[in-house]
Amino acid sequence: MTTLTSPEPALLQLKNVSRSFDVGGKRPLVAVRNVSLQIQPGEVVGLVGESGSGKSTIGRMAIALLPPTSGQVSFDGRDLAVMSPAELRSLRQRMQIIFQDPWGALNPRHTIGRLMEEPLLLHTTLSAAQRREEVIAIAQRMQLGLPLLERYPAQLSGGQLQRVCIGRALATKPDLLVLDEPTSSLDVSVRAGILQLLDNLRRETGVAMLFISHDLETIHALCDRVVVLYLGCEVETGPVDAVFKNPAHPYTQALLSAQLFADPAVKTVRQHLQGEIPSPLAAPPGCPFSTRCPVYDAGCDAGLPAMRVDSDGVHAARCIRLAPDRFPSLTETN
Amino acid sequence: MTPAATSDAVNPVLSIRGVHLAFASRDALGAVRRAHVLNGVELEVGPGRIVGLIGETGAGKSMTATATIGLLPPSAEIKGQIIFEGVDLLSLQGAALDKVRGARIGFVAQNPRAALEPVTRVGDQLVRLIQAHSSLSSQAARERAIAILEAVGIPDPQARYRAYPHELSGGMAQRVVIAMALVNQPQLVIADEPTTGLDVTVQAQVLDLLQQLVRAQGAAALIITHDLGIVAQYCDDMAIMFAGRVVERGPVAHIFAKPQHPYTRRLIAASRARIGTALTSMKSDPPDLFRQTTACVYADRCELVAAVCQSAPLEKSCSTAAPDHRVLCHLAQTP
Repeated sequence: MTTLTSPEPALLQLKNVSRSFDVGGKRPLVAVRNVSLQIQPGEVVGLVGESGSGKSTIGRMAIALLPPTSGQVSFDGRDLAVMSPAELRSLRQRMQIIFQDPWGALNPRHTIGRLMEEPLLLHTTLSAAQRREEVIAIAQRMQLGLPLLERYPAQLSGGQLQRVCIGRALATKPDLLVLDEPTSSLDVSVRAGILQLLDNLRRETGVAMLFISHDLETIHALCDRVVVLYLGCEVETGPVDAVFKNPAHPYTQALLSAQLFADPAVKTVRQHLQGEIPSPLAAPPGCPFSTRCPVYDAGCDAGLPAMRVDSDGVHAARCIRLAPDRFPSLTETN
Repeated sequence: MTPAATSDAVNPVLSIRGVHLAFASRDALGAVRRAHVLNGVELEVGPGRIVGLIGETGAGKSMTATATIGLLPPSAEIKGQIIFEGVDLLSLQGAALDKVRGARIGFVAQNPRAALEPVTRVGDQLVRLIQAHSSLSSQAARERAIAILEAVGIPDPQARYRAYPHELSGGMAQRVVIAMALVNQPQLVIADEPTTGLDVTVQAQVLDLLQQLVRAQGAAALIITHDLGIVAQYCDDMAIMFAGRVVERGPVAHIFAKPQHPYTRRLIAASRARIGTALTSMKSDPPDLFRQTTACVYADRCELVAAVCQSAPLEKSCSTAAPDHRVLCHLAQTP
């Protein structure tokens, strides 16, 4: 990527990253195709897309839970692929992940206090008393009452459990937090509290976040930049305000128009998409969105369109029909 | 777009009156205790109205639907009346109930894959449903099945008629379930979280379709959801449930403009909140279902709580903010 690179060194950088899985058929399943993205220290980047768009695969590659098939993932300028297991292990305290389902992420047979102490045991040399103190401090910051520390996961609500997961992730004072749909299993009223907590943490600790979600409102509320994925490809990226106010790619436009506002006075003109996201095993030859695109023509089948960047160098989209005056420059395609 | 009749004016299609539902269980010491799942639910669905039933997990939304279509397990202890087309559904059993379900009341389940039988072609499932409630010939039933598959926007319905459920995508499977709910032209469609597992763009397709077909058939619908966006964009009336009670109900536009119950206000604020606005988080301990009370169940969480809320029975103070807008709160402004 030429134009989207900013001068400061990125905390996390994915460079032309692809990932395929062998699913036993003739061809491999390509979950992520040639994605490049970077996160600066303290930046919150949203990753949005429908199921099967490769969001979670990118999240796992970002923190070295999954190696890319091709391309490079680097953290703090160092390529994760060439690190020894010991180096990677010590790096893990700087990168943490929070999963969608807090029930599945916590060992049901350990108390909350034990669960919150675990990362400190693994990554620090604190004494038992110091760990205890630290756990209490984290619990208070997560607005978890101290009696909860004696309980087991089954005795807590979903919102409380997600706070435990966030507390555990933050215990080692990470620089990067990957959040994979952290609020989609929670009720609306609980979700608002979790988002507020994340926003406070980000201001207080300066932790960078890769926030994976299919909920556009949440992304808009929390993130600085957003990357829109479709069938494993980046189709649009830019500052949230620019992308939400002025979406350039037809898929982003359709996605935004499908948003249901919780206000009967707001009526959106809904753009109807035909059909559903194709299987990654049967991806169309050119633009990944061509099978559903309202402005499709034969030119769209001629290979994956290049990412075009606007004149400010911050907002980019992958579509052959972008207005050349708004998106003048091409980024290198590979 | 919306029918002129207001929800409470003329005979409602569905009228749920004072429904209490409890399940008995034994605790660790062997003592019997009762979980009070519904505590006097009052709800009406007017002819041609689309009503959104909203509330958090455990509020009793799905139990209200399950009670209405008579799918409660035998251990359920239920009181009250659920009146549909002038008949109390709770008094019906066996064949009499079967005449109503699937014919006069259609049901759209949350998980389409679980709702469809996995080893029967979708067309055969539709035909079976049609013939259970009419004396149509197999040929005529087959034609009707293909017609409804076409109406729900399934491409190449002749071919899809022969498909098994696993051959369909999530969105297509949900369309088939909607087709099954509507094929016998019911008076009422109950949809329990019809789009929870679907992607945003597919969710919009499915809800548009459901709304359009319900309107075209002149049916009424009860849509259960926890998404205020769905209620705001697709429903005429709404009912908000909390701890087994409907705490507020009325026309959608009215409630969004002037929410009366503190819980409703909280829900609407939470879904619109922008980060950074001082959003105090809601106490989220689930209400204790084993404790039965006639006082306000929201009092523990309510920021306006007064002495009267903790003690006085609430049933009697169901005030009316506007003719068809009802609220269950001591502190609501009466007109």
